[in-house]
Amino acid sequence: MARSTRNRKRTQQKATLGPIAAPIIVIATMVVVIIGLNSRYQALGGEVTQLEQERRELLQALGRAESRWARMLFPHRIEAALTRHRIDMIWPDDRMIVRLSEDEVFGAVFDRSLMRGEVASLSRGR
Amino acid sequence: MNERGMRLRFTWCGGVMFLALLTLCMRLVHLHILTDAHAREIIVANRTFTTKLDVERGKICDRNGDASILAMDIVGRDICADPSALVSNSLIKAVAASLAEDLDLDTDRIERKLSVPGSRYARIAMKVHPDLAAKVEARELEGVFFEKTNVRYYPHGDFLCHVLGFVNYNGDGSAGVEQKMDIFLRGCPGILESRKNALRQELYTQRGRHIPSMEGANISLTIDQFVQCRVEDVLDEVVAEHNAKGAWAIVQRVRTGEIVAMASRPSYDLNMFTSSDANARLNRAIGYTFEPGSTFKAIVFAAALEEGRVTPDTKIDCEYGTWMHAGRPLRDYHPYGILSVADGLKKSSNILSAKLELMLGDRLFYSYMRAFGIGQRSGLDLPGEEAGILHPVRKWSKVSGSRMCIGQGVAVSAMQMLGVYSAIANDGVLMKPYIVAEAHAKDGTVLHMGKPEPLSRPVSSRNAALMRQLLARVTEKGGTGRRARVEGYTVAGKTGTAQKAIKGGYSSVNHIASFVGFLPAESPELSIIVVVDDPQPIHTGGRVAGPAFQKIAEYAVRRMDVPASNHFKLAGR
Repeated sequence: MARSTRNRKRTQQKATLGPIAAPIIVIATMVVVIIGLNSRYQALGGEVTQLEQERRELLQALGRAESRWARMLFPHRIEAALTRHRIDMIWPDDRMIVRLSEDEVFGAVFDRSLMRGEVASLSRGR
Repeated sequence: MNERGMRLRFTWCGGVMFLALLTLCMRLVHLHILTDAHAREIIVANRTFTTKLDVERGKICDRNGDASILAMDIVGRDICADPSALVSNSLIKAVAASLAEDLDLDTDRIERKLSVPGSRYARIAMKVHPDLAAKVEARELEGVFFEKTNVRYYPHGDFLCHVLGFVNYNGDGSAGVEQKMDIFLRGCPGILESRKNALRQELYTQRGRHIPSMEGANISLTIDQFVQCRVEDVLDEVVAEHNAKGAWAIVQRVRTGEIVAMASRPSYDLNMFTSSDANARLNRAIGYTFEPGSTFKAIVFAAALEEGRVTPDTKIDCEYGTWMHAGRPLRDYHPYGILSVADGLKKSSNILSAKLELMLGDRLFYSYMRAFGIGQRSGLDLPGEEAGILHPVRKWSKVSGSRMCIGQGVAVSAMQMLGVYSAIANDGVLMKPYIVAEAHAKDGTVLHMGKPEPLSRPVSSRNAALMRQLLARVTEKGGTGRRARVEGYTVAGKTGTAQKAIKGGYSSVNHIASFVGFLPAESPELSIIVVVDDPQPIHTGGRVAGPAFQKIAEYAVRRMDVPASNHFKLAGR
């Protein structure tokens, strides 16, 4: 008699807990998912901010490097460097300069491409 | 302790924790839901910020592009201090002395800025270069702090200073290309509207509005920094050698009008423009007008040939050095008898030039001067260009024409004078000079492009060629400009020695010496003008400006790869 009463009580408890627990579990799951997504969102936001800062610093470093490079390329600096290494640069005599006109240059390229074509056809023939 | 006691304790603990959590929850509900709108607005306002995002001003480079940067933005520092902290620790004198030493400032001035006990902020120096700021930072001075700021930086100090110009503390271009191209260079600052947390860090997820900055466009000039460097070195030498007050020079490509080099002395350091004086900041190449003297004679010779009044062989009496015209004497530096027109130009005869002007008549001569661009701005893309002085014919006296043709009673800038010779070199076509080759945005979009633009054609191609031959004789043996000769190249040009105008006449001791010409005469590529202000004691254009021209031209033709004259002779051109 006592056992049957206990069993009935357990069945009743299960019946009343089920409808309450289910929405709680669903809500709790949603809350956990939202909190998880939010924290991921926050973390990504932080990462973006950090990358933005990093980009700014890199641009600053680039600016500093560019200014150093510009100073290095200044004619006086180049002259000083040449002198330091005892290099005496002279302009070539005009007779030593070969000037090619645009037609001559394009002609040369054209001939070379023809030559390449010949070589290619020869190798194909082989 | 028995089981019942334990359970009781757990129950109490659980109860207390539950109550604490409940209180916290209630407080949260109160803060987020029940707080009145006004208080919530204050909280939101404290956390919200709107900031203007810094924009990088565009770079200025020479004709070789990004490899040779002449002006750029770098992140520098404003050096600030907390006066109240320094006053309370009696550190004002020590800190002021240290800052004054590093920043090259006046100690008393810094002390005055710091002697404000109630203040928490004083700006000691603005836009300090990061290297210098790092030096100050390394001293770890108490009460001194740093704020990041964009600094306009000119890597080469006073190099090309008059062309580049500078940017004032508000970020506005205030001279030179910086001013003229400000609209392209300045860019557009962005806006960031966001919120920050208790640690004053930005909450990215709360970012409301973010409009990124639009960076300024980069400017490429037509200047070649190697030629420019040579020009500046030569001008420094000339000023030192001849004790001159100043000197200026321009190198131009005759076919296009591009300015390859432009320099003026005295100069100033662009990174310290505030400490420079107005005299040093003046770009004399375009902003200073002077009576040109004999270099101006080319106009009357070209006009007389163009109008067919004379040929190079026409003989004219040069009156043995003194000629009375309209009751006023006109003299030659050396007395000559009968000279051909060609020799008159070679020997720079004033009397022959004046007689050519008489043959032309005032109105015709005036129209030629206008066609050559005298009395009007050339349209160069730099601010501060002077138009010079050329009075209309109705204001001329009887002797005005005979004086103007020898470069007196007319004021020109070096740019205008160079334009005359460039036009002769360019088959008679006067080109508009330009110095900005291109303005391009960071994504490569071309926003502005300098293009060759013809302005007028004062003389025909045939007479321009004739003038080139006549001007080439000036640098031959017996000519006034033989010191301007460049080995391997035929130089055509003219010397000028002008007395400086003083109250009621002309000075006998103060002169302006100049040489203007182009090369190679057979097929001109480059035209150059050198002007020296008040050289002492030697003052003639041939001896002062001629050698300077030679030094510049010798380098420029090699740098710009201009074929030598024998190249044309061999090619039969």
